[in-house]
Amino acid sequence: MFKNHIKIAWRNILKNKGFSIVNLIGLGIGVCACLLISLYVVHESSYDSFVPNSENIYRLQSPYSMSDFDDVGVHFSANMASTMQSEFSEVLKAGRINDVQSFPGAGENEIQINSVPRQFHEEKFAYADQEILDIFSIPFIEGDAKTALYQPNTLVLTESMAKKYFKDESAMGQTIILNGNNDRPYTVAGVMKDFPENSHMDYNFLLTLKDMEFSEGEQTRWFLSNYYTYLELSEGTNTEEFEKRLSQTMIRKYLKPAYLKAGFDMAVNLEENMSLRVQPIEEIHLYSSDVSYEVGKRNDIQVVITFAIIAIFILLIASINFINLSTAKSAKRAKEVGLRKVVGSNRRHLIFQFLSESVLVSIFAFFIGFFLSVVLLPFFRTATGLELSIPLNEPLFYLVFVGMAVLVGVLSGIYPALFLSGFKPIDAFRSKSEQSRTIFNLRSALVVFQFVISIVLIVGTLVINQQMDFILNSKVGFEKDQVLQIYGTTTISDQISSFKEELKGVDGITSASISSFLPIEGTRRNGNSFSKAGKWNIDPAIGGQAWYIDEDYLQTLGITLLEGRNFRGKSDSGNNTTIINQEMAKQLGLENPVGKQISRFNDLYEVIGVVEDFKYQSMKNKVEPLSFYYGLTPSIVSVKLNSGSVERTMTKIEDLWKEFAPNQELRYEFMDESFAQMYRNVERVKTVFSIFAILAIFIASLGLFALSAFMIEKRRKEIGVRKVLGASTASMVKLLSSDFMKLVFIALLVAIPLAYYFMNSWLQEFAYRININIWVFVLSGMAVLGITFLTVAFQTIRSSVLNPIKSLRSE
Amino acid sequence: MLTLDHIYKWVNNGGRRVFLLNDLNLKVEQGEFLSIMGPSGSGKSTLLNVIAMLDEFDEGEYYFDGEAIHELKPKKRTAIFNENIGFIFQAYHLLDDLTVYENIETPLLYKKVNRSERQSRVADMLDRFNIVGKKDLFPHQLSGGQQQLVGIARALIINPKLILADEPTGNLNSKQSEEIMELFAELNKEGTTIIQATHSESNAAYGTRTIHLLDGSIVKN
Repeated sequence: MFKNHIKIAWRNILKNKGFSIVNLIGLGIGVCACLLISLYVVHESSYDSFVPNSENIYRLQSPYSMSDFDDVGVHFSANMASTMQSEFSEVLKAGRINDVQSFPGAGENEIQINSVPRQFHEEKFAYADQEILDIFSIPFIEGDAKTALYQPNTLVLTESMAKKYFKDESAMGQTIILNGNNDRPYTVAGVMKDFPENSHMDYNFLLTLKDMEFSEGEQTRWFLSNYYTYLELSEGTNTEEFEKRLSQTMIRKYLKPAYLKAGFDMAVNLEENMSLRVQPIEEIHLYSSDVSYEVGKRNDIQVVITFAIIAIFILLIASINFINLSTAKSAKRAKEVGLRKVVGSNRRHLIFQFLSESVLVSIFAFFIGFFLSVVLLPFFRTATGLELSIPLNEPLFYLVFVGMAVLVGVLSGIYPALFLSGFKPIDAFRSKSEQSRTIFNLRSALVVFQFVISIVLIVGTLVINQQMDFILNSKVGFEKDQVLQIYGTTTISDQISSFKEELKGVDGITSASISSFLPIEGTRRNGNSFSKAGKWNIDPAIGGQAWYIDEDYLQTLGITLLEGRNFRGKSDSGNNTTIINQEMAKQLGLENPVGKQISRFNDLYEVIGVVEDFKYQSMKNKVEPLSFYYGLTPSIVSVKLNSGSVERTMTKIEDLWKEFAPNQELRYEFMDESFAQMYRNVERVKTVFSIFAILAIFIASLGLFALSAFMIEKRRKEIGVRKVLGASTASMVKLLSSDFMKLVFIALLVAIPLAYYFMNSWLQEFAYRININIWVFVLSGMAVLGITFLTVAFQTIRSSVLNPIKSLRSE
Repeated sequence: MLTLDHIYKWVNNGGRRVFLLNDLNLKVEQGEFLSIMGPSGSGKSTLLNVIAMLDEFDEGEYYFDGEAIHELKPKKRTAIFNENIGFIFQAYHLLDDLTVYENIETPLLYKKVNRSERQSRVADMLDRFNIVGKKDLFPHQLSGGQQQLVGIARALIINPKLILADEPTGNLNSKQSEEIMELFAELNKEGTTIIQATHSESNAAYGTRTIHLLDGSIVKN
């Protein structure tokens, strides 16, 4: 019996080629989209699940609120970990990581191997405790994971780094010197496996924290917060209850007294303003959007959910095609149903037969989707920037895949099956057009649903595109074009000023400046407290940046000085002068700031100038208070080029660099590129969104195309009669397309408020954003109406140019 | 074999009741070959559909092999139909997507007859109607007469007690008609009860008895 069903199903597929192709292509593309997005979603939700015992490992967090400002901190003082371990018996292990860039050694370094002079640039350095290796059970290739970071001046590097620098040799015991610091050579004490891509941690080198003290008292002061703190809690710890005790004990017993003692009078209310929380490591990747100083490739659960919903919707659109086309051609199959009933079939048999057909189509479509995914995977990898792969050696994958194929087949086949199998044999033979009257409403509803999804996706794409354009082209308050950033200049230390002077003399270079602080994410930042002169610790302080720059900085970056003067040079060093931005003046309530004084912590500074606000953070955030000081932060040299030949100038810069740093390659980036990098995530969302919006509308129109073909087929006699009576083709197009156009209008009415709501809430993420323009909706509406009209008109014209006698004769 | 007792069937048309079957009484014995004649719209097809239990009636009693059909649930009725009755259509109504062989086999599939028995019964049938050579063809590749042969073979494959034929030769030429009628006569001789609806006097003549219908009532017996 089953074989028989399959056989008939197969013949039906072959016989209705057009129908089958629409179904297979539509569903195949839907499956492909769904599979690719699933890979992404699964990848994003799999972070840190590979860590053994991951359910008992947590990262410490502290939500705190200041006057008008809430944040979640993930950095803690150096002594937090050890204190917690001695205070709480459920803390089995506690370990720290410090990757804050301002600590020499963390972040990026120029390295030398075994005192060979040649310097290599490497990234992803962090300081870590031996306990980190223990808590995360980091797998080792060489060395002993239990003791590798136990001795001072040891480091652990990844397998790929070991291969890169030591080839086939053993890395163990080799020496690595950071930034030419010969006083503190590091010994390789272990080679660990590379961190998997779905690890929230991503380091190439772990330097031991053993016996490290970065400044005097740094390891024992409670208010220097620079360490990620990870905990392994004992099995079955009630985290909620633990967090309560943790907050109480740590804040009351340690933090508050320490803050008060150091003169932070505002810590009186610390218990109300701050608490401690433990975050399961598997949640770090997707649930850290409330943490503002989070380094690394974090994602937002909202983005993942949005994509998952889009995937499901695309599959739904394709399934709706299937349902609509099956019911549309029901008249054709009504006879078969009647006949089968007459020769002894019951309803169950028929339902089963129709379901076999739809499952078969679905399985085919899934295969098509699978192969399509294999072909498109490389592009999807580029679009998402992730090393995604289809888990071909995972039996579960096949199980889920086939299971989904059957499920989609059954779900999209069940309604047509119930509908068709319900025909009474007598009715089935009798009339041909009656049966479809009632079904039309459901079919219309489904078509409207498809259009609603398509329109929302189109509007979404347009809005995201506009916002991206807005960000990339809006006035940021500095000039990012023709600016070159040269990195890794710390190594030429005392010669850096002469390097800069020589650069300024190069033909094609307008100006050059030394500063590690740039309006580009990933460069140096800090946190400082400011108040009106002398009001430190009296007024509530405001948070802001304190950047060290030189006298050429403003000119090189094209930042506008509104009032006062620029730094003059060395004379401004250490004389307590500052240049502030407008926001700082505003928040401190300074009317004519130049000449007035402000407090930064406990020190007084004279304001000598005010610059126009420039956007130094991602546009998701508002510009915050900022102040400049004269000082040397030598890790980046910025160079402004004139519009002449960039190539020639570059050659000269390289030659010059070789003179100063013969053992180190020149590493540079153009600022407009690094600026665009800041929005790479949004850019990716944009790309993926656009692709899937196009897919959705394509699948929907494919369905519409076939559906209108069926509707017109049914009305062929009517078309024939009307033509004999003298109707023109244009009037036929109008008659036949009006049904579908009505549906599009209904869809627009539903989709516009929905799209407005979704996109408006998306835009709220950005402090600087566009207003959603009415034209976005008009354009989306026109596009969908246009596509619908063309689709239907094509079919109508095709059938109405036929000789009317032909279509009449067949009746 | 079957008794129809004061059967009424009507439809409401604009508040007026139009009778399709009007106080119809009919008794058919085992082994009869009954021809039903009458003009278009006289109720021939409706009567056949009622006998086949494919259509309901509004009043009256219907006994088939002693079972009171009017008292049965639809499911049971369908079961009795599937077990006992073979139906032959004017327009053949073969399943377009199935071959000759498969068309004949289909009723057996629904009866869950095992494979080897299916094969032998279909082979017998093909043999009997001389269409062995056509068994792998699809309906559209056959002539009308051949299609109707397949239709008859399909009706006969379940060894029905009763064959209902609704103008079985209506779409055939006279030579083909004759062949089909010969076949019916032969089947009847072998013991199958047959009820056919027909326009043609000559076809009716093959039967053992003829009734005439007009406006849903028997006017001549």
